[in-house]
Amino acid sequence: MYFYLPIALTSISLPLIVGLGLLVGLLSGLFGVGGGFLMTPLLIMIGIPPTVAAASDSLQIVGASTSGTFAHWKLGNVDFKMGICLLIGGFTGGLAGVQLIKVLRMMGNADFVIKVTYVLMLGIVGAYMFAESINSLKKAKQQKEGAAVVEAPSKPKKESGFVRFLKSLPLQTRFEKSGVTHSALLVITLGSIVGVLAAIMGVGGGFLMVPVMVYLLRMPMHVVVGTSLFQILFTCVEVSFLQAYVNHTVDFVLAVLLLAGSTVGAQIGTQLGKKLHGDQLKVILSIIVLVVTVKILMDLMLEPSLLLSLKGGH
Amino acid sequence: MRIPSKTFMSGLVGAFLLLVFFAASAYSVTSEVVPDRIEIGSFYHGSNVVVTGEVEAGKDIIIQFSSPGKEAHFRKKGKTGGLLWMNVGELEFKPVSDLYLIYSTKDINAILSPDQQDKFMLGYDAFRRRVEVSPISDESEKTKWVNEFIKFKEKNRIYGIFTGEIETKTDGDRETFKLSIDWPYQALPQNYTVSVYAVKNNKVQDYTQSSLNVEKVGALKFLSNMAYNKAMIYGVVSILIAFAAGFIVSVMFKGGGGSH
Repeated sequence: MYFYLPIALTSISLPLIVGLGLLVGLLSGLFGVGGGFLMTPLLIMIGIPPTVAAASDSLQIVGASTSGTFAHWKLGNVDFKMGICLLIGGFTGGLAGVQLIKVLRMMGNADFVIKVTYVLMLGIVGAYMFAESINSLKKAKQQKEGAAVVEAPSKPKKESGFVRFLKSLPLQTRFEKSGVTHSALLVITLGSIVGVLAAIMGVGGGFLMVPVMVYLLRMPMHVVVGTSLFQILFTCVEVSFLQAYVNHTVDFVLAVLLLAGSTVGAQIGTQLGKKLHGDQLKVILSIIVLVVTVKILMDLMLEPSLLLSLKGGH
Repeated sequence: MRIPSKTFMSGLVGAFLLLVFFAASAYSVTSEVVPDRIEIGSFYHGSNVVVTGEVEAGKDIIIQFSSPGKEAHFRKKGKTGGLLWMNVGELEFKPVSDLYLIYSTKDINAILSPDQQDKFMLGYDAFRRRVEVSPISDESEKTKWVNEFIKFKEKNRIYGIFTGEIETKTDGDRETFKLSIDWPYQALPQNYTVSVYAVKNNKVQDYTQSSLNVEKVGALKFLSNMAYNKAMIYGVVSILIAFAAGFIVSVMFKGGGGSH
């Protein structure tokens, strides 16, 4: 069965598109990433024009992350206070990133900067998450095995200068749900850095925001997933509206078909996530990120079969 | 006033010859395109188009499907830093048709002179000679990018040159023909021209043209019009429906919910 898309002006197979939605929704529910970094290239691969793929994907992320956020909120996994601080930073950083892209385009090397940033960020994030979570899993295993062995009490760790500096920042705020205390300024700044990078790369930024929350803000993985989805939801509402209103590139039918799969996938992902350990989740996510990095790197290094592409997209 | 008999006679002969010429040319090639209108609805996945007609026996036939020529903008890929393939600039091609499908009884180069190919824009060689590409530095660069353009369009099934798909049957001094094609769903909704050429002695002897209208209908047309003409409402409604879909699915899966 095929559907003809009113804005993309092409016909697509129903099982294929719903299946894609299901897969990306599953990842969204499991890891709290929007899936834009996976879905948009997949849509382009099956023949959707790049601009329509990116815009319609952001609308389907609205649906999938509504489903995911709601499910995580019921599980008590959404830190709204943290999410709002990150959103403020993300919006500000997004605006700055768009201006930066304009300057780079005028200088004529925007595409190079975008691609290299993308590969580097994905590679660094993936490799770090993979190494760190494998270490955690090993430690957990050792602790289990050596539970009977009495270890010498370790000396209390001395606070580093950097930690003391962070603690000295104004607007120290307790984020109850995450069980951490940080300066609101620090959270907003981190949010804005992710916003800048997300704008440069043309993605929602979920795969960057998750590691920031886990490693820099020291939030527990399950709260990270819910809070990340909450933040992505609002970012994508803004993007979807602007794409529909300014560029007329949102294909409602495509987004609805993707949603049919992704909203269900997000729910299944959330249920599945409850059964997996935080470190197991991180290992799987890091493997996916690394696979995507290798795929992008291969695409960049091998001569493409077509040397022309339609104008538009990222 | 008396009309001189010589002038009158030559006028009569001229009119007769003209009549014979038009009668012959009117009878030289006929064609019919079925259907002449393709509706794009929600479940559209291409269509079947049949072109039938008659030509004088012994003539070759070329059938061309095309749309009006216009500008097309593309991004070109190249190697940066000797290592990475990425977009390195933009190219404009003009005038190019969105769709360019040609079917002939024999190879076009074997039955039509280059001049005639250029005159009627038949074949890739004529296409290469007519199209302008900018910005480019020399002719070899133009050839490279025009070939890439054709490759891109062929991959989308909207450009192609095919030989031997036209069925013909001779009946006395007449030859009937039939071409049945799978109309590609990638062809955009617009008006297309179907031209049938009768070819002999490396020349187009006669031709006829019909139109094929491809248009959106029903809910698809409504959504498309709304996206362009009422963009704000379209954006807001789309987001609200996405919210509702996400929420409804959450409620449907409430078994797994339950706050901690």
